[in-house]
Amino acid sequence: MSESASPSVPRRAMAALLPVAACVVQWLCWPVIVPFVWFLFYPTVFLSSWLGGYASGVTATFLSAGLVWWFFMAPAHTLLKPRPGAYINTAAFIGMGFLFSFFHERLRRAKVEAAEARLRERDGLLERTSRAAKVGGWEFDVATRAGTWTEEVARIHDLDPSTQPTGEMGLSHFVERDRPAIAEAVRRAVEEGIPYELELELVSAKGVHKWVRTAGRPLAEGGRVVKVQGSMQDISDRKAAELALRDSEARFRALFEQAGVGVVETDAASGRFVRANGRFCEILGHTEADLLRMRFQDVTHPGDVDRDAAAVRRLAAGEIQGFTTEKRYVRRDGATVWAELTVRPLTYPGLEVTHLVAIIEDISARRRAEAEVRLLNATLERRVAERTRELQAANQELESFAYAVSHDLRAPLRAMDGFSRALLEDCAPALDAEGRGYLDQIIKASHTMAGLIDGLLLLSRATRGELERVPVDVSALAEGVLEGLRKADGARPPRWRVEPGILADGDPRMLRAAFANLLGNAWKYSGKAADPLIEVDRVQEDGKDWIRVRDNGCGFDMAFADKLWKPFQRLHRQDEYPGLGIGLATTQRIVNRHGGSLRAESAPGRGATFLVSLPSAAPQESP
Amino acid sequence: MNNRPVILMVEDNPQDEMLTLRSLRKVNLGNLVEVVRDGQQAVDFLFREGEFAGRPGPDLPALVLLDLGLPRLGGLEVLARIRKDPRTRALPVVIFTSSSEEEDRLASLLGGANSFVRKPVDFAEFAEKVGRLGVYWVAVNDAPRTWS
Repeated sequence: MSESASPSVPRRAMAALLPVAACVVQWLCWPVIVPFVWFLFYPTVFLSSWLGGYASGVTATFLSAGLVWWFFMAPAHTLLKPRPGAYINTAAFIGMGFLFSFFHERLRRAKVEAAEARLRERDGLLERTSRAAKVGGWEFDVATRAGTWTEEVARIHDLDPSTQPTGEMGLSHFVERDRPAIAEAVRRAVEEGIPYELELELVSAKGVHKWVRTAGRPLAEGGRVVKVQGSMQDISDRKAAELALRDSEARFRALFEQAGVGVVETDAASGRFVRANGRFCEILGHTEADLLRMRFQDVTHPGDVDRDAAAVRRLAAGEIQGFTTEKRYVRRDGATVWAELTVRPLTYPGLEVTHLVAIIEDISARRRAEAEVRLLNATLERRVAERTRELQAANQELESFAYAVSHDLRAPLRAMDGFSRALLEDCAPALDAEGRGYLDQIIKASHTMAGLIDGLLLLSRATRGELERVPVDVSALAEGVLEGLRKADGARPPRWRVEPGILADGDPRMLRAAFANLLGNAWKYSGKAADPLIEVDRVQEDGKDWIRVRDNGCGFDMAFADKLWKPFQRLHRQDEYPGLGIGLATTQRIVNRHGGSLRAESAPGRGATFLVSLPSAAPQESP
Repeated sequence: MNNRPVILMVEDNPQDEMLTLRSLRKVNLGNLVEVVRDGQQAVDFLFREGEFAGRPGPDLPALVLLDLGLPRLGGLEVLARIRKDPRTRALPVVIFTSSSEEEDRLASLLGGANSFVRKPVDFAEFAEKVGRLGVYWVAVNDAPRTWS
């Protein structure tokens, strides 16, 4: 501080004694000055009060009055003056002296106050700045190991601002890790005079971890370092941002390098690669160093270069925000690679697009797979078409075969039958009984053959034609069939019981044929029972609904059950129960065409049970 | 009635032909039958074309007994020709065949056949059917004198 509250003591004394000097000068120059006895003393008192302050001014005033009274005022060398004017003069001088002193005192005080105000203001600014920047200062005495610091340093340590470091300025508040570094820096500053600047982590009094930047500057005196001065700044925020940035950068690196797709950054204007990740290098078979010397045009298939370049130009011009395309690259080994490319500009607000980021996915495998699928589909379609044609041809053949059977096989039979009868009629007298018997056998055989042909046709019809799907009242159908059987063979009709309301989804004509076979069999094979009975009802088994057709007839041995369903295979001799062996084969084909199941249960002499299950076309609604 | 054929039988099977003729003889219509053995012949006969160009005798029979499975022109085609021509469009045609196919029955009647009769294997039945057919179309049915 240059402006003290009051002038120093020697200065005040010197100022107070100024009138002595003035007295000497006036004495020497008295002949010139006479009769102005106060000539030099007014300025002297003015000067004294200016330099020495109020007390000096007043002292100088009385001293001056005494000196003038004694030496210059006539009569000299006596304290008593005869003229009253001398008293008045002196009183005026003393009054002026007081005025000067008072005036200067006020002036000095005003100056001091102004200076203090300036100082306060500057201190405030410094303080505020220091707080805002979180910067504090400290000083450390090498000899005593004691130190001081500013409020901000205390605040950084979360201590009361007025607290000063106690005893030795330790390093204990820094975290363990950073202590060796700061100790070494301090040692070098003290011993070798080398300043330092470190970023360290400390733990405050409240246990908060903070990052600080501390700088130390050795102060030498006589070739020895006596003090170290420095600053300390809380840089936690910056450090946090820095760490976050480093973290984010590390993540970006990891993402960039480990991405399963190629990622590159290119210069928008030239197309030169600025960065390329490992996957991209792998896709193209180039090293990263090679790629960074190339442009995207150099590795793009010649057929795709123009299109890509045009898109990049539009992107750089801001016409589009990005694009995705499938393109071809040329690998280092010359092979073509199909890739899906997505390009976006690397934008910073307010800046032009200078770089582009591209993501490249190798889709060669996908395209190969697609091509294979297409090829496979085409092949499959062709094969389906071929098979369909073959099947249609086979069906057609089968139909014409069935037609031929129906039409052409009957004609010879008719001839056999017809001419046998003609022979019997026209040439009867020429034939004996044996001859007529032979002709009867021919006629019988031709009828059997005709029956077989009819059965075959029935069988083939069961698997031909469109399958209709409508609700069929099986109960009514069974009643109708049984009634028809009774009319045809009323000699000894069996009893029958048909559960009403049995419904099934299917082709009415085919279902009629199927149940006619089952009921016809039941009728035929129960014919010799004591009290023949046929039953039709519904049962549930294996989670399915079955329609059951039962008789109490002769039954059959289940050991031969597999023969049941084969055409022309019979389990009974013709002389027991005549038949063609075509009925159950037909029934089974009809049930199969409906997607249903058919099975039989029987034992010799215990009747036979046939179970039919037909899938329903639609879920049945409950009433 | 003189000598003109009253029934035109179109039949390629000689045994069926013999059996049919025998059955018609039993009802005294045997000598009124003209037999042709394929579809083309049938058409030529009816329209006096080909080998029958300028054939003598009356114009048209009282009945055409037409088999379906015929060489050259099939039975249904012959039927179509007959129905298409204004001279024969009302001529009685009975399909007489071994076929029991539903399709054939339907196609015949839709094609304009007057009747569809299946040839039974049993000759007694066969003879009876043929006899009744002949008697009905020749004696019972009162046909117009000209067909056009």
